[in-house]
Amino acid sequence: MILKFIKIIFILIISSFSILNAQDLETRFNLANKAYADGEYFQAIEIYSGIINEGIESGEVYFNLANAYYKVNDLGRAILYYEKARKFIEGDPALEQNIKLAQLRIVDKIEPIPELFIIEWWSYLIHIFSLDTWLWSNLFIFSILMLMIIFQFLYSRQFLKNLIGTTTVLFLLVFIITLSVTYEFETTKFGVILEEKVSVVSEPDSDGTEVFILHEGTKVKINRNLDNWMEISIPDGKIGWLKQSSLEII
Amino acid sequence: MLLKLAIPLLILFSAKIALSSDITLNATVDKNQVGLNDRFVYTIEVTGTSTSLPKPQFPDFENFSILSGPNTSTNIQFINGAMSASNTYTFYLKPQKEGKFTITASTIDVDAETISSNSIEITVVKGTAKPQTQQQTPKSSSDEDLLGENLYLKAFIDKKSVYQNQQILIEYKLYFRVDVRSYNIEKLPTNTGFWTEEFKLPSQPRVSNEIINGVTYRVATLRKVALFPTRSGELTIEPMTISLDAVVKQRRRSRSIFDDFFDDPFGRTVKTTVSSQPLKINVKQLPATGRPPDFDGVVGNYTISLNADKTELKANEAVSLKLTIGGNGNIKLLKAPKINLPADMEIYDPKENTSISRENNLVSGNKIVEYILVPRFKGEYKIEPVYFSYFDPLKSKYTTLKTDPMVLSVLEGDVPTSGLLAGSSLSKQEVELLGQDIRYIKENAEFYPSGHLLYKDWLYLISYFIPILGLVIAWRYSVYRNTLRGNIGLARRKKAGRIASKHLTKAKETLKANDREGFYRSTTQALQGFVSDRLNLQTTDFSIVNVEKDLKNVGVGEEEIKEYLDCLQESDFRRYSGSGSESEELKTFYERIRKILTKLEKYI
Repeated sequence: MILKFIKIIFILIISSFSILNAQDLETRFNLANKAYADGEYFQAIEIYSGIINEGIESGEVYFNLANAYYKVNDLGRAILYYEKARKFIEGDPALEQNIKLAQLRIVDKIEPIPELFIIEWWSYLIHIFSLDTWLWSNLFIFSILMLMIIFQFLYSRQFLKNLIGTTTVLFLLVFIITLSVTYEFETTKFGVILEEKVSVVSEPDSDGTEVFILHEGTKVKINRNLDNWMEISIPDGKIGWLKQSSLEII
Repeated sequence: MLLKLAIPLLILFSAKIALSSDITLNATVDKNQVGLNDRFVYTIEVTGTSTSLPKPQFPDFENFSILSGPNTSTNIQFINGAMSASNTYTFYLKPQKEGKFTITASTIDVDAETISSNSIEITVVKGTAKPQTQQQTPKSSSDEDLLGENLYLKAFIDKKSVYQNQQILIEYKLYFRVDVRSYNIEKLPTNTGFWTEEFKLPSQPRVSNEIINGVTYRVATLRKVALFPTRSGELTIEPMTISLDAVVKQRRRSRSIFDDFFDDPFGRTVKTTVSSQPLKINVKQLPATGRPPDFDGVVGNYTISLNADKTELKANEAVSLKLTIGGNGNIKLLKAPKINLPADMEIYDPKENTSISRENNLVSGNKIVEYILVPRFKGEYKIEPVYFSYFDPLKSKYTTLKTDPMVLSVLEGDVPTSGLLAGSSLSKQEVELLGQDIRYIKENAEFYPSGHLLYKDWLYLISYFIPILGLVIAWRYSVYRNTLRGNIGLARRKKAGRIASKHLTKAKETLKANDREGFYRSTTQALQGFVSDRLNLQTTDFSIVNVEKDLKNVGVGEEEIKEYLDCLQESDFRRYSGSGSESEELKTFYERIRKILTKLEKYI
């Protein structure tokens, strides 16, 4: 009895604390938005960054922070935070446009190697929504399917039988996409170059031959790590090493 | 010989403080080739910095008789406070017999040191010696003949065998013992196979004295060139020809007293041309061994340096990078090595500046290549060392020079660089997009703890079990409902297939036994039993109308229902009528029933 009481108290404390925290975040977010609206971009950056530094993630905070960096011409960080926002609000039209604008203004214009149309098409399809959206859709369709089967158990109906078939196909498709997006998210890491100019060398060593040069704001794929060096590749297929400090992982 | 001052011999002995090192002895003759009946002049000159010059020990003039001498003359000069004095002793000599004789050297003993003059070789010929042309001299005119060996042009070369592109120095010197009023270069040699660098000489050639085989000549260097052979092999340097006005002192035999009168008292002016001798030069190919891969035919001796006017600058500022190559050699034709510049800098066309000096008989100079660079971005720019290889002809080996590596640190510029500056091409659509501003910030946010991954969230994962749980519950419920309705229906349903197949097997047996009536009984039982068992119908309720309605309710297709009912009616009808008794007919009917029952199994 006493044990149960303590448990309830404990849960109450935790939940009230988190609610308080959320309210605090909301106020700070609004404060930063106001600073942004007033053109006080540096102040806005400070507050948004403060929210993130507290161990909070939010697609909207990332988006707004990226906007503020864009306004102060720090394109590298702008792209970094737009990309981070993608994790939460991928497919958002405002995000898509802002990313496109920021990418127009960076130096590196990398022509991707054309891939097999089916791969391109697949890659386009799985990036229509963010990972979370896919995960929720998967859960939703799964639940619907289960609900249909339950109804079928209770009131065996022919039209329900057909509907279950179609929904199963749809569920399998969404399930496969969700799995591959999750797998990609888990295995591939991307980074954004934050230094204005960085030489990419052939080996993880300062004396390595320069292979190519990248500039601020370019998004690269990280293949592997070695000490404080990273092997990266860019969409046109070039591969090289650069210092960990010259980029930030999305 | 001009005597400026004559001083009695006594003075020479009055003070003996001359220093030996100051004293030089020089012996000259007015000609080397004399006729047996001719006389010639032998002169010994003692020069020093003191007025008390010692008297030399004269040679014994073997084979020559002294007509007069020694006649002494003294010459004292003060130049910038430094005094120089010379005593000249002149002998008039006459040969005693024909042949080649040597007048031995005169000597002076000063402070236990012996200074000796040169010895002179004299050729005595019969009669009066005719002047011989030592060099190529046109003989068209008797006047020019008179000039003889008194006037010639000679080309001097500093080396006969050189490497390709190695410098050769050629001096064209005019030797003359007559007065020369003026000269003109008539023909400059066309030196094919050579790159020529002319040395600057004073417009009025400096005249010096040179004693050749005892005869004093006045010498003027008329031209000095450096040649760089551009190909290997035996190359010829063509002669140079000059025309000049010389004054001939020897008088013509006068035909009248007036001729004498009009003659130039100092001699007559004669126009003549003289040419230098052609020269042969052996040009060696550069050795193949040890040739650096970047070697570009540069020969000489060089240094190289790379300098920047600043190594720390802001982005968008210009920096000047100078590559300087200096040394001896054919700088003009030298190709400066390329600098490997970082790729993402704006690089302007390099300016090249060559300066050449021709001093100390060497062509040397600098080649400065200036690059103007404008780094557009912040960062460290490494400038790779520049390599430069040349062949050193004196050491006969190749040398490769390397500049020090350089790093330009570029700080953030005052004006932010946007990608557009780098000259990227944008599509029309992109340009339109660029005109727009970014979309405005979001006003409402959802917050998640950092590093939150939905697919690892247990709440999310548990959510999948809720519908699964619902499914299990629904299944359990339907089972429960069926038990509530009674187990008969379920049992009949489960056994329906087995009973139908039993009836069919029986029908097959009766078919073999040729029991027609039994066959149709079995098929009717199979058809009726299967559907009534499956749908849990009472046999008493079984009628065509009821069955049709029930089948429709569970969703059996129109066609199947029709086929089923047809079969049922036919089976019933044949059982009591006599038709359809052929064995083949029975078999096809049996197959029809099998087919329709299999179809129905899918629906009910």
